[in-house]
Amino acid sequence: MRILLVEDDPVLGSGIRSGLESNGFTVDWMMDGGGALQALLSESFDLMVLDIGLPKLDGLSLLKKLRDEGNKLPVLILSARDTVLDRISGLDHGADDYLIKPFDVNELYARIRALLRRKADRASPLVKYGELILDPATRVVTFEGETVVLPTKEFVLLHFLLDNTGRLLSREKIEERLYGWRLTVESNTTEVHIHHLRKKFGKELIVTVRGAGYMVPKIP
Amino acid sequence: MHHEPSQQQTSDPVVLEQLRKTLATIAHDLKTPLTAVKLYADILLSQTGEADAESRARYLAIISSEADRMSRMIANIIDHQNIISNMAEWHDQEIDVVSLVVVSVKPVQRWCAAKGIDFSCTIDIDSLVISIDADRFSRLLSVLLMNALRFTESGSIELKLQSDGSRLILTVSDSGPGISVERLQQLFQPRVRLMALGKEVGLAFVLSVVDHYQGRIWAESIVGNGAVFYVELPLLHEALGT
Repeated sequence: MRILLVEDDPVLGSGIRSGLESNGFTVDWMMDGGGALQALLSESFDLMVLDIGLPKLDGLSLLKKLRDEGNKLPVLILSARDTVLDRISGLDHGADDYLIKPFDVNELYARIRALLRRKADRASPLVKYGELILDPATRVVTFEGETVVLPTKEFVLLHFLLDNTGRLLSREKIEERLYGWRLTVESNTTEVHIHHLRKKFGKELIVTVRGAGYMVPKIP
Repeated sequence: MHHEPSQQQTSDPVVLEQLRKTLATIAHDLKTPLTAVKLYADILLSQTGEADAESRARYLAIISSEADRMSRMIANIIDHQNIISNMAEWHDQEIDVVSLVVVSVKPVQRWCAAKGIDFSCTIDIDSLVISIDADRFSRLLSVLLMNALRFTESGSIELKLQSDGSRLILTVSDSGPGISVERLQQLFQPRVRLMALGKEVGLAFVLSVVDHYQGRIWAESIVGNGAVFYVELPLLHEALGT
């Protein structure tokens, strides 16, 4: 899952990014509202974690612009502004959740998972596909009753594919979700991950649409 | 038995509103390092056995430096308010500013090493004895250097100490993200001098010390190319406030 983190404090931003990445999220980090707006216009994300007090364009103005354009991206505000009025204002500007600093980092992960669950229109915290069950909270995958340990990137890829069953996902879109802007991706990296997932869960799990991308078909 | 207030209380709504805003801002500013302390401690706790030794050392260094930052913020807020209310006691003494700088930069050198930032200190004079409040001078230097460190993810921080015989000039340069023109203009606005507002609590303290010694402070920056802060203090002892 690809998250846009907008936080102007370098120490906090770096820590939040490290924490989210170690939990399997791909994170792109902007330190001001103007840069975040540009990123939102040119890239696609699954969720935004947004501070309010930001240089160039404050968080609430950024959020208003986003919602005025009809963008439904889940947004979690992370702010030291802690009054009831602050929280109401954040939610009324279009935020989906509001967490006050200082916060428990595990609560941040849980709230992000909850927002992503809603975005994927899932009622259960578990992602299920036939005999395959994926738990985003514990990052445990079970297949035909057996636990399968997956490296982080394979887990992220499988989660992304299962959240989008029946949809064709281009290689570029998959790489965006896996790596964001930060790393140069080897040309065959996605194919290697797909190959490993097929070996573990059966080659029929992921369909290759030649020249277009990959898809996990809907279970009839 | 009834309570006698020890000081006259104000009911002036403008003063009370200003006080409320100032306290809210201070509380808000303290939450940033507090959040960093909690965040890195949480990450360390949740990665027991997973985090490599280098990451653990880096996270612990951040926790320690952020806790120090909170202590400095509190001390500087109180001192700043005392200075602008003319309630501060100044303990000026004849001191070799070169030795003072060498001692004052030691903690910053440690934090730079922990963060992988190059730190250099260039002193163009052998020794220079001036009359100054050593503690406040040391904290002024610390605010400028720690601000630079906070905004520098990689690269270098450089401190220069120079004198032309009538002035002492401190220069702190960093290779951080830089400061926009609008932000540079805001940094030294009179409101920052009067109230310890926004993220300039430390800077407000620096300004109050520079003002006390009738010095000057300014900054130059190009976004993306770091920032340079200059502090200039006159060496004419007669001109210094006491």
